[in-house]
Amino acid sequence: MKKKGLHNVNWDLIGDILTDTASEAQKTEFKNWLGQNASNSSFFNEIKEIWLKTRNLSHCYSPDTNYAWGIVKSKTIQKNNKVVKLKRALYWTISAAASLLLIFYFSKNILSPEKAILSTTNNSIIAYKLPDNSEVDLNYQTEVKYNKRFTRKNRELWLNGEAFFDVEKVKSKPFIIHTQQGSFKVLGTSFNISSYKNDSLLSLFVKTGEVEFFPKNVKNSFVAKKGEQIHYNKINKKLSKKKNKTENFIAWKTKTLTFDDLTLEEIAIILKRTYNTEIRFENENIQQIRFTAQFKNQSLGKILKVIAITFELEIQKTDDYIKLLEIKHEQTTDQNN
Amino acid sequence: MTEKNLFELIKASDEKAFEILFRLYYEPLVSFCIKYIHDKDLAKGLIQEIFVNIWENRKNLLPQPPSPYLYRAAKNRCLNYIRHQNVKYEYHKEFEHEESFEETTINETSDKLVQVYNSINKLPPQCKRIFIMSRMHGLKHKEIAEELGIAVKTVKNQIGKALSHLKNEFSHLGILLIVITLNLFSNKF
Repeated sequence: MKKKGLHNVNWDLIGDILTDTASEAQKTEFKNWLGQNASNSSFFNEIKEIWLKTRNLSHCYSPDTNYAWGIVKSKTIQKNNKVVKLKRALYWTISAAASLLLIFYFSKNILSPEKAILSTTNNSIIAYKLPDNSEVDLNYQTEVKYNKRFTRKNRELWLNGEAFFDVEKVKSKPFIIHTQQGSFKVLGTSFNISSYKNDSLLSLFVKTGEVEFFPKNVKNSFVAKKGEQIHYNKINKKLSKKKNKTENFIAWKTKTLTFDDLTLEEIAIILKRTYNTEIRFENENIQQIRFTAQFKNQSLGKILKVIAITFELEIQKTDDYIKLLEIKHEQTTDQNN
Repeated sequence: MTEKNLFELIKASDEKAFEILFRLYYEPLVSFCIKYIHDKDLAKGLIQEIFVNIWENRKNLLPQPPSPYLYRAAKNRCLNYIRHQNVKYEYHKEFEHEESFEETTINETSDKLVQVYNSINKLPPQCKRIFIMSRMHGLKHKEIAEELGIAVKTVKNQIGKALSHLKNEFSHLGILLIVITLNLFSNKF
């Protein structure tokens, strides 16, 4: 009645009809609407057809397809971008500067015939499938090396940085990861290791299954199970273990962040890990604001915007960091100028 | 953009067209491959290689419909793999005669699927997101509302908005009618 005469569409109702969740009362209401005039029913038929037809495309958006597209993209479209970048940066030492794929091919074929290297820069993360079908996601500035002889029978690799592993179970063949601070042994499980060379703290988060950790120069080993997190300080050799409620730890991969009554200061640490961007605050008051929310697949910009709007803050971007400030309310007299 | 000119666009390094080709055909080709090699992960690897190959050699692509090309490539990869694995000759032979499940999975409606995909792609971001969660990932209205922290009513309205957008696009492209026709005749293909 309000809109253009033709279809005064009640999407609330149609939504329930299409998903077959309508109550009896709604069904009656719907029938009445359909019967009102012929154009209503032809309208609904078309809508229903679209509803059914679009389902044919669901495979285009499945997690499997998304994941595989990530891999193919990194070997095709993104690979070209990397070539250009590398040319510009030729004067850098190749191992330090360049991006994963080129290095990977280079190292495989030219540089060192023995080891394959995967690496990321400070603005790229990648997902990769290892020869044994285990999957590894590399966070920023991370390097993974493995022997060319890496097979389903001999699974051993070296990590510097942060990576999420989803290890394929192979009967009685453990998967071994070496880092500066110690080694990890697993069978089939998924977990996250953060072990940057110049970081004194190593952390392990186990998503499924269990992982055994052998700190360097320490006799004991430690087992972490599903949902557990281990922090290990390589300087004082102290190890702490706790249950982790959220998976913020691997948000850089899952893109899911859960803030449960955290201060903005704590949130800034998580965002730094996830988006590799530093967030600063104008003053301590802002830092201590508490915030609860959940984000899925959101950009850093979006998340900050939500925070800024919620608490009436202003976002200031620089090349190196993003700053949150209190909004200076417009004043009646121009004192500031 | 239609299915028929995807290869031409890819030849001209159109990344969007390449993504559409991939998304449209990846899963059907993987299931197709599994019929030959019975190993899902392996099948995925083989199919991914095909797409990498297409991109690397895109300059040589001919303006042909992608479907037969892709299925042929997939079949060849599988047979090569089987040969390499020294699987028994008879086994391999058995497949040489089996042409029946070729090129049937997606062929008939795929031309329209490209346009449907494009139409969905053009939806406003939030609207598109909600529509995909609902239709493609099969989430309930309530689940979407909870995940995005919005009201169920908003979810339904956004889906309605998506549907009316698509309705306009489709009637503009003549998709609705053609889809109906295809439904009647699809068994013939």
